[in-house]
Amino acid sequence: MGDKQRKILITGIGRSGGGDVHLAKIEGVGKIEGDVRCYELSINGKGDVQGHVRAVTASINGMSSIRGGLHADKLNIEGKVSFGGPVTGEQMRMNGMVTVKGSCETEIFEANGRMDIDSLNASQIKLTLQGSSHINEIGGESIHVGKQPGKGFAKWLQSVPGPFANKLSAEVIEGDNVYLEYTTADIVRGGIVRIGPGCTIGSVEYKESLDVHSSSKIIKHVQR
Amino acid sequence: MEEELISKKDLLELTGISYGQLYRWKRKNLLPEEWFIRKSAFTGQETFFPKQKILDRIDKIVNMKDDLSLDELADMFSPASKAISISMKELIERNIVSLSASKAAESYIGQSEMYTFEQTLCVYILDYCLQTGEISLDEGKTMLPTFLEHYKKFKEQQCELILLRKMGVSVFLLVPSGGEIHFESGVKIILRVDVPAMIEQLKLKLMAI
Repeated sequence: MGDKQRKILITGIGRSGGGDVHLAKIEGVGKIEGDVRCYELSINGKGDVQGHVRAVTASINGMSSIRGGLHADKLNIEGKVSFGGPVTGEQMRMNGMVTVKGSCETEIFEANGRMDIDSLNASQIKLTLQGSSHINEIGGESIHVGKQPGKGFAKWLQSVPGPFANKLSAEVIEGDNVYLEYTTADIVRGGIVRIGPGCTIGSVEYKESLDVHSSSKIIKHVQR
Repeated sequence: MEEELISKKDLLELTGISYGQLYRWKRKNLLPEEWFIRKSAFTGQETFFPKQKILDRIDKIVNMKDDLSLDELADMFSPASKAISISMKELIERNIVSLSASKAAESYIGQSEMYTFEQTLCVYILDYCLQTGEISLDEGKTMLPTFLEHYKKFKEQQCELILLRKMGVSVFLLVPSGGEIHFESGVKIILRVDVPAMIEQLKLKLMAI
């Protein structure tokens, strides 16, 4: 995947056409006007990739937009990133505000913050809510959605219902082992389902067991 | 032609697999995206699958997942060509294609020592068509150049090979699968060959040593 010599390096303000390289790195404000295939993608600052990215490791810090999709075995995000296409890989860690217009498929998905994703398919999903997230479809083996304990001002903001409250809204959530907090969903289907505090679920279909916290509302549930 | 559908819930119950497995196989591209049909049912949003196709596929995955890795399985199910080359002698010895099919193919593909996957596929399909007894060897010889010339254009899209006959004149068509086709009266569809299914069979035979 690109010989070791070839690099895209943008330091300060700059632009590049993209291509097959070993390292693609933006420090500052950079624009890549095409597809990138690389071993390592690293963006610190503000990046704008107009094509698709394929990398072995990708680390995006700051504010970026990837107009196409992204595939990276290991993906790390800190900040605000939006993807115009599907995001696939093996391991994903995100902290911040992430938007994916398309599907997100990975083995391990660990996210903290506000997520806006069309569909999420991962073996292990751990989502820590900060602000309001929306994911249409969530599917996987183990799904854990929890809330970050707020501090100071953030805690005060969360006490008021509204756009600042930590919550997740979804249409369908399906998994073998599901734990949810502060989630609004139409349908939850799973093997072992535990509904923590602050949830409103239209219908729960479970196989083995169902536990519901007293502050949560479930309109109907069926065991099958 | 309406296909019978099965809901995800019924599928899991029938096959005994879990949500985790189903989602993993989807991620690994063992189950094509087109098979996931989203519909709203009275119970809310529900995903449906073409029943026969998904049951066959799951059966194969469950039976073979101990011998092959998921990536190997995905490779087998994908319509993409495999990067291989194999000699015609080996194909005949291993009973993958018959002698008569290979003889017919020789003049079109050339007497090269090694066959690519695409060429092998072509001979394999010819052999299959001949085995059904529906086509003559001469018709088979018109099929070969059609397939060789046009198959590439489909890239990785799924396609179907159709043989029509009207008043003794036969015509071969290569069409994208899933589409509906209508003919004038008097046209008989003699044979429909699902190319992805052929690819899958051939890959399986090539892998078995």
